[in-house]
Amino acid sequence: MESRLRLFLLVPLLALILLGNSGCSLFRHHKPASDADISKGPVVVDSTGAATTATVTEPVLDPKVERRTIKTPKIRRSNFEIGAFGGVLGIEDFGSNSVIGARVDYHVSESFFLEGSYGRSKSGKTSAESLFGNLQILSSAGRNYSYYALSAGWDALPGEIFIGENHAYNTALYFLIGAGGTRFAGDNRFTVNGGFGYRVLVNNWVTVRLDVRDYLYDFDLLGPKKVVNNLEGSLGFSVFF
Amino acid sequence: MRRLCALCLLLLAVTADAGTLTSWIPFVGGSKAHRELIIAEPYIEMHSGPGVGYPVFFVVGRGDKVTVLTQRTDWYLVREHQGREGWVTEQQLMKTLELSGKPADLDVPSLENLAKHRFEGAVMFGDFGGASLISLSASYGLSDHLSVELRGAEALGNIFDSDIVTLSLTHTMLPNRRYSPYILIGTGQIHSSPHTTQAQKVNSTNQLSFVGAGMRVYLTRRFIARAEYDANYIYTKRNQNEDAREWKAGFAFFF
Repeated sequence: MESRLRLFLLVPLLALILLGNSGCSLFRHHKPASDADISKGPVVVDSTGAATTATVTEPVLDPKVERRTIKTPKIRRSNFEIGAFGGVLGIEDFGSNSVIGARVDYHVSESFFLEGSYGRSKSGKTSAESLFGNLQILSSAGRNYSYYALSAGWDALPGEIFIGENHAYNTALYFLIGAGGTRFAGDNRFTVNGGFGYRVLVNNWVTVRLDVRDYLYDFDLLGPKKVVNNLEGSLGFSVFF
Repeated sequence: MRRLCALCLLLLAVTADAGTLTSWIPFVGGSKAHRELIIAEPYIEMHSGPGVGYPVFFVVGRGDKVTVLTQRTDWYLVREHQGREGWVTEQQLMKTLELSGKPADLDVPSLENLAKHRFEGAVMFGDFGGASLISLSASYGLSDHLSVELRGAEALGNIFDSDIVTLSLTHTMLPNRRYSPYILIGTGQIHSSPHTTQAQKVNSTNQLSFVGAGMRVYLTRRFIARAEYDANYIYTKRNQNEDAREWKAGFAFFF
């Protein structure tokens, strides 16, 4: 009798356990919140301590500010130097004559620069032409003398000169070597040049230049081919830009 | 010679940027906006001229503002707040700050940005079929590797002189390297005139084409050494065409 009573009580209990584990809604149990649940929104703890989830909304203030593009001024370069010069050119066998010209320099570094120069002159008469009045070696057009030179320069001795107590000017003694062409007596001749010069900067932009240059080329108009030296001394000014 | 002069002018025109053209006279260009920088190092030194040989006459301390007026090679002419003007080295100015607080952004030419430049000029001397050659050229980079080059040259010989104008396409193989070989192909015109001492005084103008190869060696800053060999084919009006071997070496500089 007692065992039947026990069986009567245990069967419903067993049935209850089985139904509960199989997920019946009547016996739903609390599961801990999964990661997926948390990711739906932040858990907010209110003043009562109860945790609730809130959805992310747009900020209250949304200023429509257009970003300004700040343009930095470009630094101007002044590596070029352009100028004019005038002086005296001694044309071997043809006397000394005035010369005028122009030059452009490009300063590659603080010590080195490249220079392109062009000059014009007109030759005089040879000694033979002066002695024998009827002799004319060159026509008037043939006496036109022009040259160009592409040279490399080296500012060897930078320094200063002082005029009085209150004026100091930057200077540089430089050496040049280069090559180019000389048009004289109707022909172009390959010409090598070399020399030195002295540059005085009146201010940061304007310079006064004193140049001594020798131009060498082969010349065969007055007999066998020989190397002639044409010395030039000039005074000029130039402007950096 | 005239062509060479014209090319000089062209070289100047293409290499001078728009800012330089509008304010190329420095006294007029004063109204242009200038870059301002803030000294971040303890001090920077102002020299009286753009070179180490010129003495230091003033120092500007940390936190002061300087206005950069111009750049000449690797020196900058700056004006401090009391109006003094002096030359500062690139190394010192690179350590300053922009008004935004960022490090100063200076366009310093170097091997790293060698391939980025577009304009380049070159002066070379050499030999053209036995005549002494003087060559001046300007080139524009279409890309890092490809560039177009316009060249004016004069070949001065014992018998005749020649003026040469060419246009070529150059392929630089290693544009970012210190040593970079290149190949080129081009065409142009050659005008020859015999010396006055020659019996036959007939000028001639002919078309020529050429292929060549060369080597570029980056030296420093904007300076490149360059050597080149070209094989020229001159299309004459006679039955036979002529060829002329050409080699030259010199310097190139970029902007």
